[in-house]
Amino acid sequence: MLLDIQNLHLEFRTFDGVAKVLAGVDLQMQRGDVVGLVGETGCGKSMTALAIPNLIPMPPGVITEGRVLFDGEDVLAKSPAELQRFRARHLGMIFQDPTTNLNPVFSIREQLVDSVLYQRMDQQTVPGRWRGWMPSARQIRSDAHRRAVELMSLVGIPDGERRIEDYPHQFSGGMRQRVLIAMALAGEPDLLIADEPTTALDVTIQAQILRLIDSLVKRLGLSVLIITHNLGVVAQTCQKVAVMYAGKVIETAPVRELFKNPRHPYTQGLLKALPTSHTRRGELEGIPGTIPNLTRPPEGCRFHPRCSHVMEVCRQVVPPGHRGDSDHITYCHLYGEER
Amino acid sequence: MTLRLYLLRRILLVIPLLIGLSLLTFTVSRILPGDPVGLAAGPQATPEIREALARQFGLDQPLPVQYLNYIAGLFQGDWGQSLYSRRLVLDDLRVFFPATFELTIAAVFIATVLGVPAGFMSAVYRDKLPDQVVRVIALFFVSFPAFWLAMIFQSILGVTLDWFPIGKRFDVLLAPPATITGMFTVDALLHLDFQAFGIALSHLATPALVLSFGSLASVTRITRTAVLDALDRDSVRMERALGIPYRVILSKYVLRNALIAILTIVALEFGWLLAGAVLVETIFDFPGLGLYAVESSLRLDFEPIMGITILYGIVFSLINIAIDIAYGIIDPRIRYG
Repeated sequence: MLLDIQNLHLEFRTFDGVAKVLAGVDLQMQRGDVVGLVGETGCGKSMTALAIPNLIPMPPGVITEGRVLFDGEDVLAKSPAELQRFRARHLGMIFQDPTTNLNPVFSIREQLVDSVLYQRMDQQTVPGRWRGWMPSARQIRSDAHRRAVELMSLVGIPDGERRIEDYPHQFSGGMRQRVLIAMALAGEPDLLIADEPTTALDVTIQAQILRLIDSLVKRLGLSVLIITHNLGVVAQTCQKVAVMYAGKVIETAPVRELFKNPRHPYTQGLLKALPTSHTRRGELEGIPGTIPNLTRPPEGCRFHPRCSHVMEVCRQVVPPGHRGDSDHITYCHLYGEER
Repeated sequence: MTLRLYLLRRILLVIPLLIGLSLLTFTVSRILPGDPVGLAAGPQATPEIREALARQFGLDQPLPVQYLNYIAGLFQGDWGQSLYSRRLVLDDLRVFFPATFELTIAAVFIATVLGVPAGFMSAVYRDKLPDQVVRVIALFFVSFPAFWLAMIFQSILGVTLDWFPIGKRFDVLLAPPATITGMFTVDALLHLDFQAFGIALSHLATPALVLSFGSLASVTRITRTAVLDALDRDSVRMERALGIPYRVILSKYVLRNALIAILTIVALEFGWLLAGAVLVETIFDFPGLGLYAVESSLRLDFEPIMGITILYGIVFSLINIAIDIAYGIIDPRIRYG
C-alpha cells in the first residue's frame, strides 16, 4: 500500500466556531494507481490532499483523529526535518493556479535547479551561496542544471536550454503548469498529487496537461492522485475514483464501474447532473438542498437531509463502508453493514 | 541602452520639478510678513543703509525679475548669498550638507541593520513571544518624542557611561580631517587616519542612534508586514511541498519577495531623516543642514532658504531614481521604457 489514509478527522478552530472539515476520510492507493478525488467545492478534497505532505495550516487546523500512512510510515508523526526530507524524496505536488505558485522574481532556472538540488541531495550537501565557488560545488550545480533542462523537455517545454533563463511571467499558463510539474518531478517522487491541476487553464490547455500527466504515468510508472470537481477529468485520466461529500469519502470504485453503476445516492445525483450528448435543454437534474454548514453538520450520514432514500438509521449512525464486488466501496446504509 | 535612455529622461524630468519647487518656495518666502533687510541691517540702520542693502541684494527689483535673476545665477553656479551673514550659500551648504548626509546615512544604516532582521523575525514567529517583544519595542520607539529620547541617550551614553561625547562633530581641540567629501568619517578613511575616524565615529554614534529610532520602528513594522505578505504566497506552499528547507525558503525566496517594500521604506526614511534631523542636530549641537534651514527660515534669509530647498529637491529626486532602478533589479517584471 503506497498511501493509506485512515479515518482522518480535521477541524478548523476559528472565531466563528469549530468547522469539522474532515470527518473520517478513508482513502487507499496502491503503487501505480491513478486515483481521482472528486467532490464539490468545500467538501474537503483539497484538505485531504494537503494532509499527505502535512501542509495543512495549523493553527487554525487541528487533526483530531486518524492517520496518514505513506509506505507504512505515519506522515503526521514526522519531525519537521523528516517531513522536509519526505516531501523532497517521495512526494510531488502541483496546485491549481500556476501563476501564483511560481515565485515571480526568480528565473525558472533558480526555482527548477533548487528543486533538483534539494530533492535529490541531503540538505547539508547542497552547495549554498558561500560554498558555491568551489569546484565540487560548481560540478554539482552544473549537473543540476543539466537535469533541470532534461526535466523541461520531459514535460514538453521546447527549447528548454534557452527558456530556462526566462522568468515566470514570460511563460503562458499552460507552460507554467508544465514548469511546476517539472519541479514536482525533479526528485522522481513516488506519488504526484495534483490539486485541481487544470481548473485555472482554458479547455485546450487542460487537455494538453491531462495528456502530459497520462504520458508521465505511462513513461515513469508514476502514481497520481488527482483532485478535481470535474468528472470529465476523472473519466479521461483515472483508473479509480473516490467521491467526497462534506468531509467524508462516500464511495470509491474503479472509474468504469462508478460511471456504469453508481451506488451512493449522492453519486447517482452527481452523475445525473452531468450533461451528455442526449441531454436536451432544461432536462438536467440537480440534487435538492445545499451542502451542510460544517460548523453544525448533520448527525449520522452527512448527506441524509438531501437524500431521497433516507431511513431512520441514516439520521443517527455514520454509515460504515460496504464492499461490494470489484473494489466498489460504498458508505451508505442502503447497502448493509458488513465491510 | 534602454536603461540609459530611461535614466536620461528621469534626470531631465527633475528640471521642471526643481523649477516648480523653487517658484513655490520663492513665492511663499516673499509673501510671508517680516523684515529680513531690517533684521540684517540692524536696529540702528538708517533708511539709506537699508535701501543700499536691499539694492545690493536686488531686493528693490520687481519679484519676477528677482526670481529670474536668482535662477539665472543658479545656472551659472551662483547659489546666492546670506543676507544675514554675507556668506555664500554654496559655501554653507558645502559644510552643512555633508554633516547631515553623514548623520542620516549612519541613522538609516542602524535602522536597516536592526529593523529588517527584527521585522523578519517578528513575521516568522507571528503572534509568538519574539513577535510580541519586537512589536512592543517598535511601538515604544515610535511613540516617544525624539527630543526626549535624545536627552535620555545623551545623559546615559554620554554622561553616565561616558562612552561617547555628548555633542559636536569632532573633538574641539583637534582639527578635523582635511575636507574631501566634507563627511568627517569618510575623509578620515580617505586620509587613512584611523584615529580621526574613531573620533568622528564616536561623535556620530549617539545622534545617529537617536535619529534612527523613529525609522527603526517603521522599518521593523513595514518589514514585518512585507514578510507576512510574502509568507502568505502560494509559491511558499509550493516550495515547502517541493521539500526545499524552510531556512532556504525564508532567506532566499521570501526575502526577495519582501525586498521591494523594505527598500521603499528605507529610502523614504532616508529622505525624511535628511530633512528632519533638526531636533537631533540642535540637542547634539551637530552643525548640519537642518539647523541651518531652521535658522535661515527664522530670519527669512531668502537665498539660503532657496538653496536648501533646491538641494533637498535634487537629493530626493536622485534617491527616487535610484530606488526605481533598484526595483528593476529586484523584480524582473519591472521594465523601463
